[in-house]
Amino acid sequence: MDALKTFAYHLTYNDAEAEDLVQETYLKAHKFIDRYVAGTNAKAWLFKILKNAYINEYRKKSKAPKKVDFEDVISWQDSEDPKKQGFADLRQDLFRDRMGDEVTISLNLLPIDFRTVILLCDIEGFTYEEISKIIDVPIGTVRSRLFRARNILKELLKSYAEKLGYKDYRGLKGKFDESNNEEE
Amino acid sequence: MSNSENFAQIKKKIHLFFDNALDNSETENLLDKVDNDPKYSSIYRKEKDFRDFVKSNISRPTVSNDLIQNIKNSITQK
Repeated sequence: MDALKTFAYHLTYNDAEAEDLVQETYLKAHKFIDRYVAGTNAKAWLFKILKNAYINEYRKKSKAPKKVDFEDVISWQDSEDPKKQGFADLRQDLFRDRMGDEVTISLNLLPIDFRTVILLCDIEGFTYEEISKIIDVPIGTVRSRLFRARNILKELLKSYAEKLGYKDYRGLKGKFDESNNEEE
Repeated sequence: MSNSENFAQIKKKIHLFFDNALDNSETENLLDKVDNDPKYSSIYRKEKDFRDFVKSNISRPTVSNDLIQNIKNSITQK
């Protein structure tokens, strides 16, 4: 239940809404228990119910962060335009009172589709196949979103660290320049 | 093979390793290279640090007793 609450919280960023989502998830699971296939991953099944409940009940009611088109995000990430920071800055403003919790802030700056794969893979440890079933996208898309999501998250955390006065002294630019290495 | 291609391939393998998406022989092969090749070990360490940092610093709100009780009540009422 703790894992579901963490997932719900990072979808809604509202404790009360997260608890509502978890409750709805358990009630739906109880109601539709006959649809659960014995021997399959029960945790993944619950996460899928929660994700669908979030989309159906919260995203459509516009209570959740505004949907961002996947292609727009890729263009934004790949763009050289300095204005690309506008999206991040807007959401940073919303979370200004949460400074000190850099991972939470940075995760929240990710578009929902990217945030979801990070939460499911890096936090909950689901496999690509399980994530593919939870969010209803092909495994290749899961991998691609994960790769891009991690790159964005690394940049956000790096920017955050730099704002706090930390500097990157690794000195590997040129030899191992990560910015020039897109997976897909 | 250029440096950048090499970097991308190593990084991809290391991502797959941390995502538990490599089979046993690929895992063994990768860990051997991490132990013996500075390029691999550098990328491996950075990726591990990043994932550990995210995992250990993410907010994990606790589940309230009220929530548990509400769920129990709702289920038993049905």
